[in-house]
Amino acid sequence: MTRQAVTKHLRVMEKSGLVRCTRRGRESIWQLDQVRMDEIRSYLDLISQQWDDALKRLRSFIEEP
Amino acid sequence: MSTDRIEKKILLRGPVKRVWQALSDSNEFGRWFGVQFEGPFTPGAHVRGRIVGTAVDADVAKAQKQYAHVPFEITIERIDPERLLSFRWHPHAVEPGIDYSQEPTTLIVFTLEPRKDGVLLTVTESGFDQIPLARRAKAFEANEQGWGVVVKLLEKHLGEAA
Repeated sequence: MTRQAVTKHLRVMEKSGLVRCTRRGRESIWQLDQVRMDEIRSYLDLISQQWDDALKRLRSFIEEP
Repeated sequence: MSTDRIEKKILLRGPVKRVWQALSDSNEFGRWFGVQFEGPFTPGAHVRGRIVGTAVDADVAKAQKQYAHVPFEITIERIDPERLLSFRWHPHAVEPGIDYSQEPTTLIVFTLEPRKDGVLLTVTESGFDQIPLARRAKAFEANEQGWGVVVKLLEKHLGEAA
């Protein structure tokens, strides 16, 4: 992968808020946005929990008519 | 860890016909899920509904009713009797005043596999990577107030049952 391609990918991730870029002289320092990553994980945990709950209700519905 | 997909498996002790009916009949689906649908599930149909609360757990039903104002709509994709049901929806589309209709949807697939002692049901929901990040972050904030209560109620309920 070329340097330009890497930068292009990082810019896309920056737009999504997943990484942040700070400049130090001629250097670009890229950092992962841990808060954003945690939010995405928490979101999936939430949806996952909702499915667990829904499937428990389905089980009651089927097994205890 | 995938950020795009969730998969759940559950063994349901009952005949495949019974499980299939609980999934494919929109009235039955609505009873355990907590939604009253306006029409039947047929391939390609957009089925609208209202969140009315589940019939199987009064505490959960009460918590669900806070979303009674939220429009609920699914689009059926495939119906393969006693084997597979799939549909699309806007995940966790509960924030008032937001038009989710132009946003990407996730795909939910229920797969049934007969087992000696029942039916192994697999549920997958995928497509989360296409959901706007801001939406995903917001849903978590909403959860702190809303679904957190559901989980607490559920814990209470299970605690009493144990």
